[in-house]
Amino acid sequence: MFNANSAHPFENPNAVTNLLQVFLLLVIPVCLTRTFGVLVGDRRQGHLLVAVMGTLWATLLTVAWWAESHPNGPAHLLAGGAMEGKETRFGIGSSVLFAISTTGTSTGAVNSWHDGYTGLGGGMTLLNMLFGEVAPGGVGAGLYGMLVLAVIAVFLAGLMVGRTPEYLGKKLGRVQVTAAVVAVLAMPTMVLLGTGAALTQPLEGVLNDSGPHGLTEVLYAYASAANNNGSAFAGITVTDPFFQASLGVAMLVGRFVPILAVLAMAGSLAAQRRVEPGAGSLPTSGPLFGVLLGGTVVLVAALTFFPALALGPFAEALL
Amino acid sequence: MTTRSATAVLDRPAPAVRAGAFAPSQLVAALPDAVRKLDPRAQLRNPVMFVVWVGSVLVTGLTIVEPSVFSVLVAGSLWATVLFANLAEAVAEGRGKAQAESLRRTRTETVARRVDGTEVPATALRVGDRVVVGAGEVIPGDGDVVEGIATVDESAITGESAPVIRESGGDRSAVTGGTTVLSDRIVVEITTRPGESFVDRMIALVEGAQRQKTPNEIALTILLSALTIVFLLAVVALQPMSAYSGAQQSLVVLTALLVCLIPTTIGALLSAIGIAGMDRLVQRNVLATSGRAVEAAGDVDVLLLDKTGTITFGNRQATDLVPVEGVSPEDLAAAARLSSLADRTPEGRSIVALCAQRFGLPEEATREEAVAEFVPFTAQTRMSGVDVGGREIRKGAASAVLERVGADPGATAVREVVDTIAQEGGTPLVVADGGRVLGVVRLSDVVKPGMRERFAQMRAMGIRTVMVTGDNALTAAAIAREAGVDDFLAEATPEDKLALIRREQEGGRLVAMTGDGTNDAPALAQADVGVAMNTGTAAAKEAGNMVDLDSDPTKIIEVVEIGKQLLITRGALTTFSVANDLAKYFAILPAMFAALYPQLDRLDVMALASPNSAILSAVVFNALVIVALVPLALRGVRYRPVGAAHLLRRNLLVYGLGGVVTPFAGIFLIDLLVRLVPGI
Repeated sequence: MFNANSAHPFENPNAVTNLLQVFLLLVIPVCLTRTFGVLVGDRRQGHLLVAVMGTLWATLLTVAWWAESHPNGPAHLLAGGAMEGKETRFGIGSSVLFAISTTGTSTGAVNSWHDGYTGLGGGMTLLNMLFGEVAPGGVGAGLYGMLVLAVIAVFLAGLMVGRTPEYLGKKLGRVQVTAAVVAVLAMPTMVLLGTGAALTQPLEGVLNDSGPHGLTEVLYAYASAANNNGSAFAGITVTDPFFQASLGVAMLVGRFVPILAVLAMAGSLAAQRRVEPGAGSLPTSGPLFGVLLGGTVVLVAALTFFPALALGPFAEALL
Repeated sequence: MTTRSATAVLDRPAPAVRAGAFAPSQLVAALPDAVRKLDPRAQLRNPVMFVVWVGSVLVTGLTIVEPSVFSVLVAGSLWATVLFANLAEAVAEGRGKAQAESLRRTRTETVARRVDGTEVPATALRVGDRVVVGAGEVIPGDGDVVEGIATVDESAITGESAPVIRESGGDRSAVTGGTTVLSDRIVVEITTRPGESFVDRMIALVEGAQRQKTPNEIALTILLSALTIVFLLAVVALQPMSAYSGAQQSLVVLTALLVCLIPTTIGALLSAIGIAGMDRLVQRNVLATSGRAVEAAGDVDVLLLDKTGTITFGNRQATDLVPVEGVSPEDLAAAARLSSLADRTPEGRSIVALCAQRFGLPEEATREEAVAEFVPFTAQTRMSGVDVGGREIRKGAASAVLERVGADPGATAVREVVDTIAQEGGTPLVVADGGRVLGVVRLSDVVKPGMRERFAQMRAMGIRTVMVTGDNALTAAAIAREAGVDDFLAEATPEDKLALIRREQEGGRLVAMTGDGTNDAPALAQADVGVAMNTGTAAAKEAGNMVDLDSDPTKIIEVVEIGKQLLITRGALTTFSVANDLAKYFAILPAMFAALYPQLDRLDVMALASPNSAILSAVVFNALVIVALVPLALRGVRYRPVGAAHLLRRNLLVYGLGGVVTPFAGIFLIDLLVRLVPGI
């Protein structure tokens, strides 16, 4: 049973190789924030992005770690932790570290069975993808996830300084906002419609579990597909034509629509003249904007997925 | 020809009374308009409120099929939400309508008399027509005076009762249709077509008839529509999830959830905020040709200000007395005062005032001084003065006075003082008593009080101020330093001004300026915000995108603030609206899911009475918050000229955090009442 592909002893034999894998998962997306800072001529802009990404990643990791080490249920209590689906070579810490890192990037490798996590712990891996895979984002098409949310954050709150919103000295108008919302909405549209449609299908033989955990399995499948994460929660069989087709569409739309929108936005911004930010423009590199950006990431995901998360992971965690 | 009374009855209430005033009675007065706006075609213009409208129709239908106390109350609350949104817009529009009505009366059937003697209705005039207007007659259309000089009562347009002089040629030639000639007779060449005159534009503006969405408003509407779509999807997907979890939700509850989640607060108030922003400008007697210009005012990076009249008083004033050796300052002051007592020019009066302030000399002439014979200033003598008791006191241009005095031993020393003052940008006036030079009075530009603080505020707002003057660089630098402007343009020609604007714009900066002369027109047109003075020429008014009816060049600072306030109000209410959603989720979701998963009851942090009361409380809160915020939308969020970081922190705290917390308290309190409704 090598469903957890990065748990194979030849590929990932011990704790050191596991840490190396986690490092390799994160190194490119994290370094891209520096590339960004250099490209826009202000490294603090990159520092801000990495700070927000790091905070989100660390928060999810902490919650998942706590959830996995404080399990309820007789089997978990007997084992002293939620060890179901986890390699004893790694234990809870290294498994959770890997799980949160892989769902924050477009890696898709797993070294433990996410389906076996507690309600809250599994919910964190799911939430990480539902943020739009922005902490820290994928390798090729990843950094823009956070940048598009920055555009939304600037537009939402930027008006409050009494100027047309600007990000990095470029004005955000109709074209940029349209591109940003298209990029941000593609994934939730696929996840919500996909999950909704899937739940109207006959689910016998598809789901291992009923109740909230079953709903999480379906939600995770579409979140992973629409974010092009590729990791498997497991516990769901998606070989029938409906799932094959709908997950395929989710992957297609979830990847290419944002790319098109982001390219359109990049083109429109490149054509604009850059204005040096002054005392009157919104500062986008301080802790205040960090809080704003982090808040926007959480708020956008929370508002979109609160009902789904309530019926899935939360209902399970609160049992 | 109509008589003067047609315009004299115009009563424009004093701005101080109207500004920001909002009475609940306005809501009642706007009710009929609000009901009229329930028409779906009117709702379609606002995507967010259209969704609420559709939801209201749906719930009403469901209620009729299957009536219950709960669904009746939900339907009522949803309709109230739509109605309150209409009310906000109607109140904002209503304020402009009253003003438009009084303006419209100026357009009563004026008959124009052409120079060839034919009489035509004012509406039949064409561009280029020349009409004769005599005393007591109403000027039939916008135009330029091509012949004659007259005093004109422009109170119909400006609210200012003091008449102004209009004459052919120069920068005082523009006249506005609807104003009244008080004396003399002028020939006016019509420059605008009927229906496009200044008054017409003003009426359209205050009525909001030609109101188009501004660029920023469009972008915001896109974002709000996107949010609406997301929530629509979330609610649509909720039904199968809920069915999978054990039970379907009722359509009434799902609609209630949707309406609570979509950004109805900002959606309802968005157009009211825009109209109120324009109205705030009108209250300050500034007319903008478009909402776009008001928005641009908020974005201004560079402000060009003319020195004279804007930064300094229009006239030079006495600021110092420099006696020559052997003359006491008191003697000089006494002579300077005496020579100026009968001099009613602003410069002369300022000398008397300076002597009174420094040496305690009386400001009015004593009885013996009153007999003095005043020698007025002429262009030939270039000096003025008095002859009293055998003394001949004179003050005036250095060369003229020194020539009159002849070989005075102090002359060389005086010349040095005179040169120093001139180099420093002042105007020296030499005072002599008979054949003896007493000293020099320094006249300088006096910076208006409070300007330094204002420029410091502008700097904090991130706006660079540039003083434009015809003075030489030395003088300009001295004044610029004193006033605290960031930069200056000395010996400026209209071309220099235009070039400066272009240069700034090439750097991506937005430029605002004021102007009144025809030679200002190119620069006014080039500037992103060009405020023309109402006293200025037709060309200047045409070129700018705003007209200040009070012709107060300092007002551009207020215009910038109004622009910023408009954007801040929009942003603050958007943030508030979105932040509200969190509490609504916490109210409605436990109510919906408690039957499916009892453990989700722990999300009910507000401990609401029952699922039905929780949902109803959220919907009622959602409707009431619109009414509660109408005054804020009309008045605008208070703007303080501080830096962006400070503003953001404050507004995020008030409207972001406040937006998260307020609905928790609001819904909890409403639930305390709603739970008392029987049958809930």
